[in-house]
Amino acid sequence: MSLKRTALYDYHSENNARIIEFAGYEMPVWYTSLNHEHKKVRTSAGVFDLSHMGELLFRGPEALDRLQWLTSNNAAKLKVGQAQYTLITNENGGIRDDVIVYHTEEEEYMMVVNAANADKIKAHVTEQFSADVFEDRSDEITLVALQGPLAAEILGNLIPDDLSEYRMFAVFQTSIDNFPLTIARTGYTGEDGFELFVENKDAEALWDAVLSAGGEDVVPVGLGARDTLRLEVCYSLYGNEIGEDSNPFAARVGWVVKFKKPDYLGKEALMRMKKEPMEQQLAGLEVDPGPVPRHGLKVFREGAEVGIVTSGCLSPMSGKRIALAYLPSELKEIGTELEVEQRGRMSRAVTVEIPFYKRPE
Amino acid sequence: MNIPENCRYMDTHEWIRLEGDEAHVGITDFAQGELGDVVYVELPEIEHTLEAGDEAGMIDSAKTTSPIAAPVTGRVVRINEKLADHPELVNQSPYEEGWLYVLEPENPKDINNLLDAAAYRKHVEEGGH
Repeated sequence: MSLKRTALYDYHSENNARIIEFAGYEMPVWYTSLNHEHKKVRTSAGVFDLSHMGELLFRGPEALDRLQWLTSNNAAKLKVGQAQYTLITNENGGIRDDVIVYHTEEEEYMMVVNAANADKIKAHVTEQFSADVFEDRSDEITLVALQGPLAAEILGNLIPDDLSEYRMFAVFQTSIDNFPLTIARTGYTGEDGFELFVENKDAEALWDAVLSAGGEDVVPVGLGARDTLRLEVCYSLYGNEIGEDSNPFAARVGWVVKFKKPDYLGKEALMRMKKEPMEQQLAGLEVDPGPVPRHGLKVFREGAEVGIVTSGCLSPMSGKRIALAYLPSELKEIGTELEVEQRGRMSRAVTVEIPFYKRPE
Repeated sequence: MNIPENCRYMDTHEWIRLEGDEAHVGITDFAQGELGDVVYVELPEIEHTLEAGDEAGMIDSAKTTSPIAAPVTGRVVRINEKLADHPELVNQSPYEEGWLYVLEPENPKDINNLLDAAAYRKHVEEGGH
């Protein structure tokens, strides 16, 4: 199967980005240095090409009911101009995908799905309603994220709108020069920031406009730093912390599982899960100097295997080895001494409070 | 792409450079570029004898963990102590300051069986896999 390219591929390639295959796309993993890009997003701003992600449009009088059936959060709470994080759950209460639903117009919702799950979700939705009830805009839409403490200032120079009117998870339409775009105050970095949706034909104009408005305050950022940024603030990555077999309450995404809403796929199972004690829960670890903890490594307590690392990295901000891991609930308590097995050797680890990084007040 | 003539190479992107009875070992400029920011290097134990192709240690970049292989059979005589505090030397100077360890090859002629600079360059230009 040949790999897909986003409308911004030429920029990435001409600017010497290191390109990797990700979810069927050729995507930039970094441009200059993962650590540099990471720190720039925390202290200034970074711009990301996220056009590999999928955009599904649900329209018409039944759109809300369909989203209510598919997702665990209460989409009826959304007013036009608001977005929410939510889960597409399966019949067992596991997670088919984690998505953001944007209420863009009356009777219109845009769902942004993970690139790696896009085909699965399209098949799932079609199966649930025995019909094509969405419009797949994934191949026509470019998604650019502008993230960081200076993101609002940079974006504010490009658009006529007053950004202070738009809080987190707000979504609105505007234009830059003569092309229209949809802007949402959402992101995956733990920083203030925006996600900008345009038609592919306007992709390069948007990218150039953001880079020139930001000047030295903004750098292009690859998927490498996107992963370490989200890990420092403990946002779930599908396939790592969450998956079809996950318990959303154990995975720390139970806050988007709502029961005061109409029936939905997995609701009954989730109501049971919520009442039952959890065998394992996601916890944060700090690992002693040595190898960097990674996805899939085993966690031990006094020589006995007790859990598994879902994600790990050397935190670019703290310089510490941080990891998320599923651990028995009784070992979640902060300060529990554990070991992580790396290449046949044990590294000492201790449970710590999460998120690992908090934005300065 | 810097591929010095005075080194021999493995197709897994390690270099070895013989000087007298000893040989410095490291990873290539291509390899450090692929790995990105090196954040930690695990090196073999001094006095340990490695067989050609053995895992000699591993390199953590900001993104991933990669094993490093021993180019030839030999005894480890020194490691690059500087890398403990400055793993970024592997990125900045892969053939000089960012060397990993020194081997005393059991049979120095084994090194001639590895790729020379031209063959390694061809390997990299074909994708490096």
